[in-house]
Parts: sequence; C-alpha cells; structure tokens
Amino acid sequence: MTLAVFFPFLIAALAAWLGPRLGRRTGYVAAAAFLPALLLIPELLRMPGAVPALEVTRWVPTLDLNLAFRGDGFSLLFAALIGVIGTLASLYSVAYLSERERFGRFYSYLLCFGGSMLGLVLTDNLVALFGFWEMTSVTSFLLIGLWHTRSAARDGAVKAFLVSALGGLALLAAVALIALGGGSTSLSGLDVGALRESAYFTPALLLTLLAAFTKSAQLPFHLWLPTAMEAPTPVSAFLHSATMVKAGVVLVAKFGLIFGGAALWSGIIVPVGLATLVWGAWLALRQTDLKALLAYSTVSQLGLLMSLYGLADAEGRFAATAHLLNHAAFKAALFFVVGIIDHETGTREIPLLGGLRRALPVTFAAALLAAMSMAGLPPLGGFISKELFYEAMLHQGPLFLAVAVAGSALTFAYSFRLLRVFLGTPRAPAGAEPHEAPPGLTLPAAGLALTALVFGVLPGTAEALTRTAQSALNFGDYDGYLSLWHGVTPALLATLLTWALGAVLVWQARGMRALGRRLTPRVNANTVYYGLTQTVNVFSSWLIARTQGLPLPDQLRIMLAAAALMAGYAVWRAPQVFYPIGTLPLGVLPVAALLIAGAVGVLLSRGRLTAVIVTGLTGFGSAAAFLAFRAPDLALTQLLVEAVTVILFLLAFRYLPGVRDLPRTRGRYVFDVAIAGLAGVGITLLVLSSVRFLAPPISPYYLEYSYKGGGGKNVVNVLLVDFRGFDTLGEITVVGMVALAVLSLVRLGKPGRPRRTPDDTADLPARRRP
Amino acid sequence: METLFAVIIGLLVAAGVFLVLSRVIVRVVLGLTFISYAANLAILTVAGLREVSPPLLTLPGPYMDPLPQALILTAIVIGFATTALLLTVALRAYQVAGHDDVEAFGDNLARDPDAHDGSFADPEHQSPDRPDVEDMQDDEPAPAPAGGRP
Repeated sequence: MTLAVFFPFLIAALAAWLGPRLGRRTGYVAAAAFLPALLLIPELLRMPGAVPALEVTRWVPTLDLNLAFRGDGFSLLFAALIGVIGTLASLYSVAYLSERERFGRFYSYLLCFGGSMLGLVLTDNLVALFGFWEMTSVTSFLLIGLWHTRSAARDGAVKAFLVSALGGLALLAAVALIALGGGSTSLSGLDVGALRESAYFTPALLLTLLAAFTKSAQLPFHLWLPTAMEAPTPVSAFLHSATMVKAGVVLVAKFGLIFGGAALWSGIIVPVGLATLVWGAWLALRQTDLKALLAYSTVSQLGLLMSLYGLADAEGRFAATAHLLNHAAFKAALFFVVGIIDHETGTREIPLLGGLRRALPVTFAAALLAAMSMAGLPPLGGFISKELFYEAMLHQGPLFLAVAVAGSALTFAYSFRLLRVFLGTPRAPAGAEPHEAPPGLTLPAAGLALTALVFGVLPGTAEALTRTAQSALNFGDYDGYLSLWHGVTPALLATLLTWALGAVLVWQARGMRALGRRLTPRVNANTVYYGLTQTVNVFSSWLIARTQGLPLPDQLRIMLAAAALMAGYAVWRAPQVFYPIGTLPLGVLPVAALLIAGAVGVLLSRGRLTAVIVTGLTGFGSAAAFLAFRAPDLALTQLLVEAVTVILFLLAFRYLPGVRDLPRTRGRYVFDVAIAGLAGVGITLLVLSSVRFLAPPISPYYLEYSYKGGGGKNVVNVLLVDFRGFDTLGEITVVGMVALAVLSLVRLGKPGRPRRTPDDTADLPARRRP
Repeated sequence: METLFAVIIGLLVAAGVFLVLSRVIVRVVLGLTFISYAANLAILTVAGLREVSPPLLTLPGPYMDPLPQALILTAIVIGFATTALLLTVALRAYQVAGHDDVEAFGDNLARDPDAHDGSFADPEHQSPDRPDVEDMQDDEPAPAPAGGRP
C-alpha cells in the first residue's frame, strides 16, 4: 500500500522528465503508475473476511507521526477505483490531448494528484490524512489551471483552491481536536468513547462537516466544481467524477463511524445533501454546455451520496457504497463521451449538436448505457442503487422521499437532455465532420459503460464489491441485497412516479427553460464569491496605497505604536511581575551620571561632532559600568570599540553634511516624545521584571569547567572560544560580511574628493539649496 | 542598584527611539547606537549586579556570572558592525539622494525635498563633494524618473 501511494509520485518525476522526450506516449508510462494500486484488487476481493492490513513507516516518532496505511475494505475499494479510473484517464488522454500539450507537466500533475488521492483514502494517520487532503487541493489547482493562459482556467483554479483550502484549514482544526479528544492520531486507534465524552466533539464534528462540504461541493460551496471544468476533459473525468470530489464523501463515510451517533451529524448532512441533490440537478438541467451539465450533475450526485452516508446507519452506508460504484462507472464514462464529442465536433454546446448517433455509433451506445444508469433506468446499475436510495429515504419520512423523488426526476430529465445531442437530425458546427473516434478514446468510455450495464444485469458483481466494505463501514448486519426486482415495493412506486415526472419535464422542456430563467436568483454562491474576492482586492489595494511606501520614520512610528499597544496590554494584564529591588550605592552614581549625560546631551546637541562626542560619553559610561560590575573584558572591548566608532564617524563625516536638525511638525514631535517615553518606560519595566532568576543560573558549570575543560582562568574568554566557539565564529563572520558590505558600498559610489575650501568646516548650519 | 540601572536603560532607549524617529540620517544611526548600549547594559543588569569578584579564576570567589558577559562581548562587536554598516548605508543614501532627509527618501531615494518645484535630484550618483550650491545649478536639470511621486 505504501508503494501504491508513493509509486505515482515517483513516476510523476519520471514523467516530468520524459514528457518533452516522449510526447503524448508519456501517457503509457503514466498509466503504469497505477499498477501498484491495481495490484490491491486481489486483496480487495478477499476482503469482507480478511483482516485489514496495516503498514507503518515511522516518520517523526516523537510527534507520533507515522506514515501508516490501513487497507480495510472501504479504503481498498476506493484505491482500486482510483487505480482503474486513473489508468483509463491516462490512456484516454494519450489519444485526447493535442500534440502541442506540455505532457511532462500534465502527466506529473495528474500522477501527483492520483498519489495524493490514494494516500488520502489509504492513510490511517490523521495528520497524514490532512496532508494528503491538502495535496489533492494543490494538485487539483495545478490541473485545473493547466491551460493557465486562459483567464477562465485561472479563475477556476483559484476558486477551487480557495474553497477547498478553506475546508482544508477546517480539517486541520478538526484533526487536531479529534486527536486531542481521542488520544491518538491513528484513525483506527482512536478512543471514540473518550472523544464523544470530550468537549471537542461538537466543534470537531462541525469542522469536519465544513471540510467535507467544501471538498465535495455541497451547497453553498458547489460554486467551484463547475468552473473547475476548465481542466482538460480526461482530468475532469478523473478529478471531478470519480475521485477528488469524493474525498469529502470518503471523509463523511469514514468519520461517520466516529460522529455518526450524534443527531447533529445526520441532522446537518442529510438535509444539505438532499438540497444539493435537487439544486444541482435543477442547475444541470439548465446548462447548454455538456461538460457544465455533467459538472452540476456531479454536484447533485455528490449530494445524494452525502445524504446516504450522512444517515450513518447500515442501510445508508450499503446504498451509498453501491451508488458510489455505479456513479464512478457512469460518470467517468459520460465524461469520456463528452470528451469524444468535443474532440470530434469542436464544440460542447447542446443547441449546436444533434443526430450524432449516426456518426458516432459506439460512442452513442456508451453514452446511452451510462446516461440510462444515471437516470436510474433498468437494467442498469443506477436503477438498483436509486431503489436503495428511495428505500433509505422512505425510512426517514415522506418528506425526505418527496425531495429524493424530485431530485431524481430532474436527474432523469437532464440525462435525457444529454442524450439529445445523439438524437434528431444530424447537426454539427460548420467545418466539423464528426466520425467515430479512435479506439483510444472509445474503449475507456465503452468499458466503463459496459461496467454500468454489468452492475445492473448481474447485480451480484456490484453486490460483491459493495460487500467488501462491510466490515470497514459497519454494515455487515444489513440484510439488503442488490437486485433488479424486489417485488412491488414503495420504492418501486416512487420510481414509477419519478419516471412520470421526468417524462413531463422532458416533454415540457421549453416551459422549464422559461421557468428556469424566471427563477434565477439574483444572489447566488458565485456573486457572493466574486463580491468577496473583489472586496478583498479593493481593500488590500487601498491598504497598500496608504501604508506601504511611507517614509521610514512614519513606518517606524506605526511599528513602535503597535509594540507599545501590545506591551501595554501585557503590562495591564500582569502588573504583579515588577519587583523594584536593590539599594542605591553612591559609588555607581558617577557612572549613572555619565550615561544619562550622554543621552541628554545627544538630544540637545546641534553639531554633528558634538553629537558624536556626546554619544561617546554614554559609550565610556557603559565601559565604566562594565568595570564597576566586574566585567573587565567588556570594559576593555567597549573602550576600543568606542574609539573605533568615533574614528568611523569622523571618516564618514567627511562625506556627510552637518547634523542639521530638520524640524518635525508639532503633532509629530509630541507623538515622538510619547513613543520614546513609552519605549523607555516599557524597557525599564521589562528589565525590572526580568531581574529575578526564574531558574538557577547555569554559570557554575562554566566556572567549574573553565579551567578543567578549557584550560583558561579567564572564564569569559574560555566561554567565547571554547564553550561557545561557534557563536564567536558567527560573530567574526558577521563582522567580515559587514566589512565586505561597507567596502562595496563605498566603492560603488564615486570616490569622494576632500573638501578643498579652508572655511568649509564640518559643523556648518544646515545646507539649504535655494 | 538594579532599579537605578533599569531606569537608566529606559532613558537610553527613550533617547535612542527619539533619535531614530528624527529626520536626519546621522541621528537615526546615533539612535540605534544608543539602543544597542541599552541592550548591552540590560543583559548585564538582568543577570544581577553583585559586589563579587569578576570571573577570573585567579581571584578568590564567589564570581560574577560569566555567561552574560560573554554574550555582551559578542553583542558589542556585532553592535559596532551594525553601526558601521548603517553609517555606510547612510553615506550611500546621501550620495544617491543628494540629501540626508530620511522622511523624504520615501520609495524613491532620488527625490529632492528642498526643491520647491518638486523636481528630482539626479538619480545617478550625486556626489556630496560638490561643496557649493552654485555647482549644482550648473548641472543640467535632472529628468524626473518615471514612477516617482511628484
């Protein structure tokens, strides 16, 4: 399993290298990346009975971070699904993409995405789950924006990323809360009972739901999925029908075992899922672009899956898993079909197309089977899983069933609308001469459509696959079974009603379109999204225009005022830490006077020489203080540095004007005095609060080992060169770097000429140019 | 004693901050020097000022804490390096901008704050060694660089 997850990443690196060399044939290499995932199928087929395998690779053991992969029935089922669809999408894209595509980039993104998705479903570690979740967001961003020269692709990519990254943050918080409450970061090792008891339970539940809803495009986060259709069609088939958007469904299915007992869980998911089912189907019916129709259909079908898994009972999980298989088969097939139509006619607009069944017979057959499965017609797999869906909703109440029927009737109608491009009189855009696509395109579509048929005609196959997940999702005791004929049940009656309603919708298509135009809400998720993003843009431009590029003193004022605010808050919150201690010995008073004289003098000084000399007072005062407080090395160093500093200033003054004191405005002056005063008081308080030793000092160690270990009796020196030798090396490096910088700065400019005029002294009043 | 030094350190920082906020570039450099003095003294003070022997093992104990002293020793040298670098940057800024008014540097170093007509100083080198105003006026009026603020 570890191999299955990481092999696609390896091949992705290879594909990036091979892309420019092999061109479109890189796709065959890419298809091979899913081989380890496909090799999980034999293990899956043993599944309801076999014990889940656990593969643990230690990563950061101290943080309880392991790469743990757990192959239970549900994970393996999903991994196999990803493997199959991934392989088909890779092969399909070989024939689909144009010769000029950047294959290296395309296939490496695709494989990274596949690897992240495999990791997401197989991982047993919560932190890794979050990591893979975010990786799917990032890789799908890259895939959607693959044709980044088109603004629609950029917009779609950004939108998808913003929405799913929002959900990713929610998931991070949820994962942290679950790990805290459950006492483990391992999904299978969680103490669910403790988590249910803890206060983290409800927040974690809500955050998980937010993550799942954003990823699986539930209302009102459905806005990103249709624009994500800007990706190339094979990618859409892979990402947005079979795998990526189902990440949220996986989350709900897996975490339903943790949160399922809470009334809040089902109470939120089921209504949201059903609302998404109906609204997505309604929007799908109104699309004219085939791919947009499929996108909204995916939104709608995800709502169905969500509502079923959200029930968190055996019946719902059984029905949802069965529908998951059917949906993967028919939706990927339909995406491939739409890709073929686009490829052959150059358009995806329904009004421009018609009668394609003559030109594309094989494609038509595949589309017919897949669309019938989507519409829930017998003898296709979709019919069976829809019956189960009705059954489950019937047990919730008549209102739930009514909504389910309405959604399915709309599904019926848009499935027919999709098929209309094959019916009627032949119609295609000028210049396009549609003829049957090459086998590279038709075979994946036909294979998946046949799978949908097999799932219906031989329900045992789908049942066996569904049952593999039974121990992982706790529906082993559910006694339902997949069959085309359960007898005359309420679900069957509801199905008949659905067909009748669907037929009416198809019949009254024109009226429905008029109604749809009338019902278009003025405010929808997209207008809210664009409103928000534009507001952020405008606001940040406004903020930058007013805060960046300020003069240095103003920026410093802002920073210092902010620091004053924060420090003031800290002082206000914890005033008890300041301990004025110590006596006032007369001996250090001269030192203190020297230090203060420097500080006051420099503020009063007008000339630059005066300023430097007065600064020196403080420098020598520090040296005196060091001497007074038993630090002779420091005093010596300070004296030397002080001398060099004065020389440095004098050298620089040769090229600098006098220290004129440019006036500040009165407001600034008062503000600066206040800021400076606050800074002084703050530092005083800080020093006072730090005077107490919170822990015993470590210096006895140095005093003891200075001679024993370092062979020197001056402990400070030994400290510098032996105990903290690398620090000193760093210090020397800094000085060296500064020397280089100073040298280059000075040499960059024109070499300065000495002033020749004898009366040009350094301390002239400010030089003003007229 | 610590209290006295805490107050002095506060004073030094206040003076430093006030200087840093001033308009003239040399004063900014001096302000940073004052802040670094204050920082050094603060490290010494928070370790405790006691009347004991310096950490020279030839003297009888008890000794002062040697660790803060080692830290300050490094800090003094780094502080000196910082001052040198800043001073050179100030020098270059003055050379490029032709004036030493920090507030007028803005995002375009070449703006001339003293020019009444809002013209720009020479964005190329402007040597400070042209001592006199007359020299400046002999030069061609410098073209305004694009993108600068008027």
